[in-house]
Amino acid sequence: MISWKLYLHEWRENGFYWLLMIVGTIAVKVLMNFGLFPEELFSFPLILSIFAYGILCTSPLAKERKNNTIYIKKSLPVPGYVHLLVKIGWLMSSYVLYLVFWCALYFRFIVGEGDTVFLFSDTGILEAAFFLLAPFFGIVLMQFSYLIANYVAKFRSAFSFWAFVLTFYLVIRIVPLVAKVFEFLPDFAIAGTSGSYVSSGFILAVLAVSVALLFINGKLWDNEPAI
Amino acid sequence: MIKRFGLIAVMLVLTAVMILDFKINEPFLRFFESMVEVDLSARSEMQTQTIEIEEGERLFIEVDESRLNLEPTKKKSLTVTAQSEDAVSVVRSEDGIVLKVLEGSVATVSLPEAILPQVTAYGASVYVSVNVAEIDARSSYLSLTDVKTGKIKAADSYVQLTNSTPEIIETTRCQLEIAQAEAKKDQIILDATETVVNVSSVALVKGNAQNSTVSLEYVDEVDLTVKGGTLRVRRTENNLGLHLEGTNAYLELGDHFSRITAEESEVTIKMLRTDAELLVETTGTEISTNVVGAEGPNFSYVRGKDAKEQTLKTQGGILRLYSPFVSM
Repeated sequence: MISWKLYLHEWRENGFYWLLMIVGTIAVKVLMNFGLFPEELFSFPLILSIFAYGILCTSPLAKERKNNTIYIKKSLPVPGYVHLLVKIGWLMSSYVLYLVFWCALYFRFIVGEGDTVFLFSDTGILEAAFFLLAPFFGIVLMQFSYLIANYVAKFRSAFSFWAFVLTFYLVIRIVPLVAKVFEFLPDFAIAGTSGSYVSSGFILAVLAVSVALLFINGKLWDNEPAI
Repeated sequence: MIKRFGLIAVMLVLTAVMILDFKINEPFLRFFESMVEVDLSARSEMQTQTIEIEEGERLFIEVDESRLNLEPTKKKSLTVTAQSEDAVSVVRSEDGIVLKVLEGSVATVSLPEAILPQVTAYGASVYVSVNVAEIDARSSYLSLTDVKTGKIKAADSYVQLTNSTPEIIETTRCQLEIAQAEAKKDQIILDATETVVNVSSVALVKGNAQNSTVSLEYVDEVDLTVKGGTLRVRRTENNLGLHLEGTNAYLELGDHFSRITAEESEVTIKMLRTDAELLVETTGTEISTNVVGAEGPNFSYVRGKDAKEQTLKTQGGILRLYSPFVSM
């Protein structure tokens, strides 16, 4: 229940940015209808939203610190990883909502008239795994590089970027090793290729590393150094 | 303080390791290798035989209910890899070399660049990434990647072309998927009968389609004769030349040059730009439009200054002309 309240709090705190993107997307559509914006650039709001969400990955964390709400959150009887998971949950759910809205608004441009839309293709599970796992991993990694930068007093942004690169390197080294553990699991065939598969072990390894990072992030959140 | 400097020291060491690792190994490659797996278990047990072939010598490959991969090689000889030596039979004759892949086999043929094989496939899966002289496929799955020459004939098959521009593609009762990932510069010449054709990102599409379902997207130039079936043209860039007979067509027209003739067809045209120019000549055609100035049995719709010439001649059938910017 407390997680749900924290989730709603995320909406109250950051919902403005989401609303701003919705308004911007509607504005582009209105301009398009009046012929003031080229129709070919219908994906422009979506590209902009991807950049916006890239920034939003860590800004809710920074905002907590700036507004001193981080101490209220820490006083709650909830472990750190729950706070971070709630933030990830908000980022992903709000983006899915935005995507649904964008698709509905530009449906005519995406699929054209009379086309059949397949929500799930043959490799639907594979696509879903990638589309959910990639942002989850990305957000966790960015949260980690943000939280680790709290250990230094100066040049935090540069340090954060450095930590991001190193962690990413460690992950690409660790994932193949962990993937071997799950090698016995069945793989997903890639449609249209001759005998190529996506290893389900790889997907599980990325998931395992992401979850491990989430718990490390939780510890970093709980034991933030006083600098 | 200890924590801070300890962390920085660890990160420095890790950075050095990372730089060395990137120089010596290929961590990204290992990472992606762990993601995509290619089934090599069968290949490891395979037998490879080398066949000497002279430049200009003809090569005929016959595949029946089997899988064949055609790959390029820099060697001057031909290599055939299959699960056993019996899976492939090689016969030399005066006409050239005849290579037969026997039923239920998997074979990979590596070819020198100068050799252009003539492939006949029945009920087979054929993956081609070399230039060919001709492919004749029936009830088969045919995938062509980076194939620049040859004549493709297919019936009752699924044909997929990626970055491939064979000289002509003849299909009957097929599904044909054409997509170019590279910069669009090549042309596709089609002769499709009762085929579902999906073309995307190609410089030029020419030819004929009979009783087919044709969909073209991001095509620079179109020169097609379509008889029966349906045609959908979206997001074309430049020239659009169409001759339609008894066709149900949906066309999006921008400011590119277009010349369309239609006989007894049901044509829907969406004007993508309000400043586009379209000259329409119709005889006995039922017309519905929301475009201002485009009324009457023989009408001419002209707007804008810089628009390129677009003409439409229809005889019989139905014409729907509309602009999304004007309410109906």
